[in-house]
Amino acid sequence: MPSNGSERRRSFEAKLNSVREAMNKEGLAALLFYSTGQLSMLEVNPVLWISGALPIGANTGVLITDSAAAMLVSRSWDVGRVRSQSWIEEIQVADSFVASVKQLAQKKGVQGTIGLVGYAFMPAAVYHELEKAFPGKLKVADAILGRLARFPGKDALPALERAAAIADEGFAAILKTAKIGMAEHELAAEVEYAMRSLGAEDNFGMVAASDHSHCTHPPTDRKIQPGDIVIAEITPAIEGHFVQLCRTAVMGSISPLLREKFAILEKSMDASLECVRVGEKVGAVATAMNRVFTAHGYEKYCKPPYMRVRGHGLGYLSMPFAEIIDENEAVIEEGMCFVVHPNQYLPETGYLMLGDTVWIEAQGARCLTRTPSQLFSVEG
Amino acid sequence: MEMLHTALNRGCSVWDKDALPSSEFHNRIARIKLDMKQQAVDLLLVYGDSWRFGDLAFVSHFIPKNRGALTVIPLDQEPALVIQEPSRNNPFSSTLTWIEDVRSVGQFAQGVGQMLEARGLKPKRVGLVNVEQQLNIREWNGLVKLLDGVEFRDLGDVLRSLRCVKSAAELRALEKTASILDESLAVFERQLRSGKREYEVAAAAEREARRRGVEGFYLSIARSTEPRIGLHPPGSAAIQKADVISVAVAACCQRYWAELGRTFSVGGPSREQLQDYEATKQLFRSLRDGVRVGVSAAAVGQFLSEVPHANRVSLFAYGLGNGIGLDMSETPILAGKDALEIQKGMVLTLRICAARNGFGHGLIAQPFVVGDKLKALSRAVDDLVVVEG
Repeated sequence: MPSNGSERRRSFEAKLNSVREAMNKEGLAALLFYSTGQLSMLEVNPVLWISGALPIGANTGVLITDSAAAMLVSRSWDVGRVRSQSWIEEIQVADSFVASVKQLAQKKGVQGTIGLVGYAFMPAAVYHELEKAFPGKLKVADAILGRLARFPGKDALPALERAAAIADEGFAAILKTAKIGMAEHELAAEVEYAMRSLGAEDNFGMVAASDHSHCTHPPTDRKIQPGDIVIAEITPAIEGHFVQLCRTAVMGSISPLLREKFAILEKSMDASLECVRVGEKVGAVATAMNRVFTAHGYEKYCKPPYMRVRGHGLGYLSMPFAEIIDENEAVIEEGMCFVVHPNQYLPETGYLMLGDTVWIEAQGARCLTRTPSQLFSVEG
Repeated sequence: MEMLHTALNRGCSVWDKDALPSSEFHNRIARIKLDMKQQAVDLLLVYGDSWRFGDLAFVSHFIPKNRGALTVIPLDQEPALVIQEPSRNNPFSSTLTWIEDVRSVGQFAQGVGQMLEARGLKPKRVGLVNVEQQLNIREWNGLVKLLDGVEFRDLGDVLRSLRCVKSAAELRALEKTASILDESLAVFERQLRSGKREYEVAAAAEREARRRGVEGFYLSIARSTEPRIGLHPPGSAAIQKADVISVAVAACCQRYWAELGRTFSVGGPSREQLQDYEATKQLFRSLRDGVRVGVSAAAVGQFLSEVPHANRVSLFAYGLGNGIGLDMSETPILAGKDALEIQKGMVLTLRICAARNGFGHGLIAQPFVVGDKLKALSRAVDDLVVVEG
């Protein structure tokens, strides 16, 4: 990330220009980017996306007009950090979010309609207050972010690659530290440590061990047993970009049955990756994956309550599409980044995981992580 | 103290039935139903998300992983829990709550509608706790449409009042979380050396807390060599010799939070730094002495009237403290507008975070249970901790 203000501003200029172009096209006098402060990997955070900083606390925002940009944060002691990360120079502390938005809009001479980006996650009370403050002058503008945040951009590739290398280390920690008798949450702590000590800012991570898992879930206090299948969904973030790695490991030797069943996931992964190319519909990726499971007699298990999505965009900063499902008509484009995972519940083995984050290049998908796409065994 | 939220509550996720048995929740629900009856409310909706789940956990013990959940409490029937999540997560989610009727849905209106229909309920007056304040507008609109013609009444005050004074089980839970943070900070102290990056030292403290079973862990750090930047999530900057480091840690375990704040000196502190820290310590002692049964929460900050205005700014910015329990920060908020009187059995985080030029942040924060005297729930470390450079 650029270290000084003018460099930061330059790196955001293209984004800002496209935002203003969209504003003008939709006849908006301003755009208000809003964040609740509750973060989710499955969403682009509007304030982070436009400003480059993720303020601490609830109800923060950025107001963009044709000629100005100003940011509202909720904690005065966080201003220094936000200023050091954002290109936006005008940063105010808002004791009351809506009152501050109103003051700011008046100060900037905003008279027309204000587009709301982040409406989908805006608490009802905040929206109701905004409605009172700007009667008849609000318009939902989430679609603008949906269009513009489909690509992380080439500048993000170093951060994505670093996050991928950290995800590899996270899984390596399972292979190095998993032991019989260790609690699931102790193993998850080792995964977390491996990644946080390398600089991961966050992690959407779930590690579970069982002789028959029904789904992935946060760790419990269950002690790892011989023969347990450890499933890991590992998703570190660097500079607001998440990369996901899904893998499976067995405590002890791999049974022939498990090897046979895991091979279906590997085959499904290969089949789906062939469809991950520029111009192909996203739905085709899911269809290719499901076809392999169906051919092995598992069609029923490709649907809820067993399975639903076959991958998804990775949020905070970019999200090409929400879900890889059969019905998704979106088209894959160069520069997109998302996770493809034929994770699958099978009645004979329980839930198994295999998934990689791919970066889309003109000639096809490039897997960002380096952990081999296979079933692992831990001596433990 | 507010910290940067994370994408997932990814720590140890269990319901410890010995620590918080079903009877604890039956008692809470019975007390809530008395208020519902008094206010002629025949259905209560209590919402919480993965970041602010205190009221939700109070009635359900459930902690949302990454989205939100709604407890539906009919006046004359058992509660139901409606969680926004894929249906395959339902068996696991059901292990985290005492409530038997757990519904995993895509939209809350769908789940609440199905529940009302299955139970034959047609509410006339519905109480709300944290629903309009936290639930997103689209989900809110869905509920309003579902409950067309119903009168809504905010019952947030009922839960705030019930949650202020902690039960014996809650005190034990809070003490456990505080003791985990003590151990976490001990690791932080052992790892803190010049040349190490902020995130390396923080990762070791986090591992200790996660090994001991926390559901979530948060750490904020400030360094005297970067005085313009307040407490922040650990970054890549290296710790320097003669740095004074302030650290705030918070975690929840069995849904109960604790927060600790401590200050470290990397190598021997200068005389000025020691003097500054001594002033921080004195302020903390004055704060502690001022918190007594019967004093209003708003009046707790009166001892600051003699402190120069410039030195007061950071104290008020970070806050002098607040209630702590199922939320990291809950009623009463000290030295604010909260006129609530301090009562026996409340648990309060007391906090002094003094930022001064050339020193950075001197931080002391600790949880106490209010009795005839304040009793610390964590180790009492209010000295500047000096580690080798």
